[in-house]
Amino acid sequence: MKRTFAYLVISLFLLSIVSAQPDSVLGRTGGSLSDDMKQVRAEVKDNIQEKGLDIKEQIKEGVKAVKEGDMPKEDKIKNIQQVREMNMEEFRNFQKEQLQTAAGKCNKEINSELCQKNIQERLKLVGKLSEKGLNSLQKVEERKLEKLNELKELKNDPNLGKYKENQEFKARQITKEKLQNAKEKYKESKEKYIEARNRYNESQQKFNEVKARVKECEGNEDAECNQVREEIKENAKEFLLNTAGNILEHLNKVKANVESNEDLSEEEAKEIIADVDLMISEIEDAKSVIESSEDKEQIIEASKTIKKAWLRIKERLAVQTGKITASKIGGVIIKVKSLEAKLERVLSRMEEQSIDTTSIQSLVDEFNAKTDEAKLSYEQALDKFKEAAASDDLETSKTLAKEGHNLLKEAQNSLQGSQKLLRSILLNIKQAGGEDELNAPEDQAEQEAASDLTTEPAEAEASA
Amino acid sequence: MIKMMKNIILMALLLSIVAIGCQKQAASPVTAPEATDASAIESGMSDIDSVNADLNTQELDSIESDLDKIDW
Repeated sequence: MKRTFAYLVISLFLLSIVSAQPDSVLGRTGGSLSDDMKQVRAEVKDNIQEKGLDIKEQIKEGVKAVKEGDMPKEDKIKNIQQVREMNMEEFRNFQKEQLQTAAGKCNKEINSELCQKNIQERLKLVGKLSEKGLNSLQKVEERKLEKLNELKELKNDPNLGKYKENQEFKARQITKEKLQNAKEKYKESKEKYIEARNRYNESQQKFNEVKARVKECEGNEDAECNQVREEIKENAKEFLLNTAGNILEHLNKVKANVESNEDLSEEEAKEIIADVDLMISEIEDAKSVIESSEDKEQIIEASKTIKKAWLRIKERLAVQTGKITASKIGGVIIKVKSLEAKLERVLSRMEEQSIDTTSIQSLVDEFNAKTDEAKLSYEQALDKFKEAAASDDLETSKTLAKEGHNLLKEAQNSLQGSQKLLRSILLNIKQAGGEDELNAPEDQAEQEAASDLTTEPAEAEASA
Repeated sequence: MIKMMKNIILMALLLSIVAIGCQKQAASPVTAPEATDASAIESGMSDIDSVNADLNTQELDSIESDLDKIDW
């Protein structure tokens, strides 16, 4: 009796452990993977034979149509429309074919067996979906295709095309060591700027104090007043040198920022650095004039020189810093755009499991709209900076640069809106039971299969 | 005999709790790619803020008027 109970307890424990294993590791079904695949393929084949060859042709046409990646946007929408017009069974088969294509690419995955297993599970889910469920899935799949097309188009975007997916959406790759040094240099330049700013403030205060004493000495020619008059020359020179130092450290900070910025392409970085170097040499020249000034007149003349130099570079600097900020905003926009496509993938997987995603889709639509707003402001800002850089008129350049910075602020605000909506979307997905889908690792095979649907013809032919 | 049965049931209960605990742990992913993406966006946004602050020339705007007062 004791032994029976002991066996009972051990069995119960072992059963609990077995059930504790995630489905993805042990799977829910028995049988070999190849058997499952064969079975599903046979099902699809039977369905096609039942409905006639024309359906297969139509599906192929649909896929082929969506493959026309470099077609005008209107044509792409028309091709997605073909997928939209499939009846439920045609769409079910279309989905199964897509999943099978993904399964065929599973061997590229690190855990190919797990990849196959997941796709098998999903094929079963698609096979079991009701007409209503299929209808919802079809809508989400259309959205997903549209987003994938959009993402593909962004690769050729004149502004956002520089952020490469294979470089973690960076515009250039800086070696780890070089980046570490550049970041260190940037940090140091920020500290140096603060020190220079403090020196500037102190010397200005000191100059103003001595200036007040000089005023008190008006009409007084005693030794103390004469000493104060001599003293102020040194204070004025020191103040001017610290003014130049302040500007120089700010320029060095901008330069160090560019050197450590992976959101700027190599060409953009070179162009900004070259311009900042020119600005530095202009201020250095003005600094030499200050150093060589001796009497009051020369010192006042030197102050005019540094002021002129600062006014000359100020607007150019506004354009260059605008470009730097824009590069950061562009880097976030491209990541958000990539996330838009991923969200559609999550919603699609949720729909496969018959989870209603209608309310989440509305939030995703708002999220997409906010991102588009940000993209538009970002593009307009870049245009303003281009115009400002091309303008010879200082006032026009100043106005354009200011407009550019305001547009960047608008882009940033829109992105903040996207960020808030994203938090809400993630929460809603979790609450609707899609946490597993949200946390599921990116399925490279599925991504590649989906990507094939939107591949440019030349690429598709080459891979065929 | 009853005592023994009680012990066995208690043990079964404990082992079940342990198993359920394991299940929960296995279900919670260590990394969440989507969340990582969201956090990448959050860090990108704070990066924009810090760049804005670092490259701002507002502090230098006073230079022009300060230089005008250099005369004595």
